[in-house]
Amino acid sequence: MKGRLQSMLRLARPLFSADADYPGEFAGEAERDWGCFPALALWSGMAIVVAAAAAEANRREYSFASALFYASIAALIFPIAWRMVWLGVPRAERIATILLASTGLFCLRLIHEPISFVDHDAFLHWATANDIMRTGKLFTPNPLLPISPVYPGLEIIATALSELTTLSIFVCGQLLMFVCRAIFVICLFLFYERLSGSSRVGSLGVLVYMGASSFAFFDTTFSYGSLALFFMVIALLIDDRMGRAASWRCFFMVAIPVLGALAVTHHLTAFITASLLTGVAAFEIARRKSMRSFGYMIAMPAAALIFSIGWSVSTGNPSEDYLGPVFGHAISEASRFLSFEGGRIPFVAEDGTTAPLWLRVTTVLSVVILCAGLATSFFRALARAGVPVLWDKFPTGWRGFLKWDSSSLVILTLVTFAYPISIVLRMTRAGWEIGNRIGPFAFLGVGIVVAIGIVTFWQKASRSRLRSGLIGTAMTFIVIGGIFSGSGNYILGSPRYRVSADSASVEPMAISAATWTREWLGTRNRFFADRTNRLLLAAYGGQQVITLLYDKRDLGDVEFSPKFGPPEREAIREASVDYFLLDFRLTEQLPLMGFYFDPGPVYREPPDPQVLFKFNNVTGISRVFDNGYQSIINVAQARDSADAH
Amino acid sequence: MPTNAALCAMLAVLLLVSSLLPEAIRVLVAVPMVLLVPGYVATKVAFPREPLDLERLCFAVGVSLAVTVLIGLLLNVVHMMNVAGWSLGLGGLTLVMLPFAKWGASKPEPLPAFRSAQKLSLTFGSLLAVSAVLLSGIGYSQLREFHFTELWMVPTQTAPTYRLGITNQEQIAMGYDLEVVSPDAVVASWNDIPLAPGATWQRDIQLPIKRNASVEQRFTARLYKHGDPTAAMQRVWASIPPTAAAKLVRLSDTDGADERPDIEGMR
Repeated sequence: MKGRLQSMLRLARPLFSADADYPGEFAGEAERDWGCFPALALWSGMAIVVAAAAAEANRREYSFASALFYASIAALIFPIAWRMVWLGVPRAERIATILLASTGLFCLRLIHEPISFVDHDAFLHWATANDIMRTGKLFTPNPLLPISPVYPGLEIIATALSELTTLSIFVCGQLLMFVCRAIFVICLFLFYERLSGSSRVGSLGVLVYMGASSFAFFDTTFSYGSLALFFMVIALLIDDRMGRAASWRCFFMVAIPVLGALAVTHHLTAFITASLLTGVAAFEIARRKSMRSFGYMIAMPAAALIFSIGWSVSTGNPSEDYLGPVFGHAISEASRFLSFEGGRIPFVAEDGTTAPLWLRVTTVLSVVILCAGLATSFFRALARAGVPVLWDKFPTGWRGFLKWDSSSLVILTLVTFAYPISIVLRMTRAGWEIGNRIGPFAFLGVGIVVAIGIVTFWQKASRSRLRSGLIGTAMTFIVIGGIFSGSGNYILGSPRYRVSADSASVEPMAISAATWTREWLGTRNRFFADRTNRLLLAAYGGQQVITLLYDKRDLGDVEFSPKFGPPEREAIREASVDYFLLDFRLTEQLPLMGFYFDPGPVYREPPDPQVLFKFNNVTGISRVFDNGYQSIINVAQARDSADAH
Repeated sequence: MPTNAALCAMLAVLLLVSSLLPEAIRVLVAVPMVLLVPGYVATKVAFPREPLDLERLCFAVGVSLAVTVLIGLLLNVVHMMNVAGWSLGLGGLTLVMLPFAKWGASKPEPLPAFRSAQKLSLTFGSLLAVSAVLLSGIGYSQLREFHFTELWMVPTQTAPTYRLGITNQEQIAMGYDLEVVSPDAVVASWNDIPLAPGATWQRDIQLPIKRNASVEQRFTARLYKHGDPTAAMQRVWASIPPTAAAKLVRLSDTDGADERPDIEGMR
């Protein structure tokens, strides 16, 4: 028994080892050459051509399109990952190559959204930007996402670019996202490189970070979170700089504007950045080796806290109303899932469609690889940070525990605990979105910790191409698994219209109907429509759409009720509705997102088309527009006439 | 004055007069002035005499975007979120910071040079990526699952005149027949309206709304494919409740060409 226990401990020893020495790689890094970068650039160009061909095949409804698209991502990432694992790659080549990887992924995003916004969140912010362009003012209410005008950082920059260049918000938004993504990747590399002391760890860390479910697509959407992540990583780099060569000039000229802009750009990211900076400062204060002065240590977190809390309070704490219920539902569902009382079935969409087997296997493998990476790297990362861990350098007194070298690395290592939490949340309906949003923050830690594990345990000083290839393959799995987790089976959009499927529901006919409303009905009419059409009505039509989030009313019951009676009339009167956009295609399918209008009712089958015809015979309701699939009805007279029946 | 300082000053001045510039030049001036220049000058103030390495480049872009956000908040307060406000804000801030910047930096470490073959593969790779994205844009814009015809009937400024419209989005040339009927009569009809793909046809029509009607009056426009009167492709209608009819007719009785039916007032 004792022998078996000892052998088990021996097997587990790699997990708890604090061996974190890097192999001698720095001689090679000093070489001044671009190495394989130009060849990889050519190869990546070809991979992007394949991705574009896959998108075209998808439009022509070839069944292999999705597989071909993911294959092109693998073709893009694998050689880069393989090369980054090698010893002795010059630093300039590493930086150029990770930029190449991120640019390649951004090209895939452009292939997904080439000429206009199609993603749900982009419409939310586009509507806010349109309001700024139209009124010349900030803070115009946006019923699609009431918190968006209160955090207008993204829209301010996009409208500034649009005003000054006369380019469209779409073009300005894509340009902005491209620049933010490129600088984000460089910042992350520099941050990881500084913390680990190795450009190899830096580049591998960034590649692992690309496995975050939101990295490739969601975090480059025209959305406030995308810009905020960029500000966050700049703030972390500034904090690192303040740690090495603090100056008040740097603080006031660089840190203050960045933290101020972050506070007015995105609530959650601002709070998390403030927490990270506070954590680093607290660890620095506790650390017995710290040479930083107290003022410099607390300047950044104090500013971050003051700005983020100050902006939230001065705008009436909208983030509390917005995030509170989301977190509440997520936590309660997560606890139900953990007690085996239910949850979301992985890889099955709300309309019952299941992801292909190979994608399911890839995604599960990516999680397994990341867990294995974290298990073998956690203590190594702590050891690299100088924390006296386990039996190797175990301190004798409690003061000995307070002698680490890098507080930032300790914090990032602890941040990896958010990764399993995000996985659990993703298994729930209410928590899926939170799990997806936690990803970019959890991966800040996961990236560097796994990279340290690769360099100090998995690859070490080996120059074996086979071993590099295996690690490169594992990293490719991580990236593809992450992309699939975030974008699902509809990464290329659906060649056919799908009901309530966000980008797969956005198509020219619905856009034309929304544009028609602007031209013929004018803007700012109060419209009620389903989840997709209301995005288009707000963004293309400039209409005031009615939403549960803003108006606290879900008129889906009225639209889907079998008859139009006094309760329905009362509901539209209370909500002051002018028009309904009725989309008869809703009656053909179950909604992919699980709901037609706002989260709430659960549908087992599509509604009967007759429920939409009920408006035809109501006195005072005029049908002003019809394209055979959608109609727009004016309910203003029926709403206001007491004697109508 | 160092070259970089002169370049920054020139861009800032050009931004101040950007509304007078041609569009292409505006783009060339405005993009760096929003994304880089103010932050670059700020880093020259914050880190005097340090070269523009990668870290400083990141800070320059970060600060540029950050000050754009903060200037936007300020412009909102003074009601100047327009071209003039942005030009003044970003250009002015850059010019104000310039005298405080220290330019005598040591040169950053030069990047390795590309060999000819490397340049070729880099250029070819970039061209492939750009072409792929552009071609996908063309493919995307040509994707049309639904071929459809839009029919509409909306009240105009002068009641009881309504505007009828048809837009052909069937992707082929079409001929249409259109009729407008009340419960007891055909109000108007048009036969064989030819429409090219993407074309629109419009007509104004006066609906014979009865002033003292005690029941709903409904006027329906039905659209048919030319020569196929069996099934209407699209239908729209105006339903006039008894209470609303009096108001609509009263307006038309005055022949007030500039008066709009008081639907807004009836809300």
